[in-house]
Amino acid sequence: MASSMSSIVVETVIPLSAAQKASLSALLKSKFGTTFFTEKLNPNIVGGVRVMVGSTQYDATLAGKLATLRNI
Amino acid sequence: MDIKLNLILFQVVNFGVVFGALVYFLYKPVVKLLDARAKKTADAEKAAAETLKEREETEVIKTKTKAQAEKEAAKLLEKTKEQATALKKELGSEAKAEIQAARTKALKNWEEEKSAMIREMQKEFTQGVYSVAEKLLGKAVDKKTHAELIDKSLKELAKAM
Repeated sequence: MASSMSSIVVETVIPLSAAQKASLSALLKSKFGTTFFTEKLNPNIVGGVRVMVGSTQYDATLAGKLATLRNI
Repeated sequence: MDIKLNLILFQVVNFGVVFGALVYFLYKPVVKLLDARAKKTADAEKAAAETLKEREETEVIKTKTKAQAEKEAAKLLEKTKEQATALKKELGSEAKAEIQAARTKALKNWEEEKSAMIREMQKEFTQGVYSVAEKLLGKAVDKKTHAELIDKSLKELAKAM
């Protein structure tokens, strides 16, 4: 688990809705002890969400899945 | 005719003296010489006979030796021929095996190269397909679908973290 002091960046293609932000905050609180994150729009991820906590990356994007398939 | 006894006696004595001298000085040396010559001739004949016998024996040994040498030479030649034939056969087999091994190796290399080429082509094709799919997805997905994808991703992240 990453440190609670690390900066958290969340990448999406479109801005998160209020419900999604709340859901993500709850998730981050339970996992990292913080609700603060920076939201960043990135059309290159195609779809889904990518969360970067410090140097650790949690990728649930379509681009990430395609890249995984491509490397099989 | 007047017979003179004295003269006859003298003649008899004279004959005896001459006869004795002849026997002593001529007959005995001649007989001795003849004996020696006969003995020498006999010895020479004996030596000649022995030499002839030795020569015949030598000839027999020579014939036997020659026959044996010819037999051994023929045997050796036959053996050498057999060895040469066996060696030729062996070399032929080895050459065939080497050619077969080289052929198998070349075939294997060709198959490997072919497989590698096919894999590379498949990889390039797949990457092309994924690139096209990525571009199409980026353009085709609407806001509603994006929102759904985000919801789904958040659930996945909750499990993955």
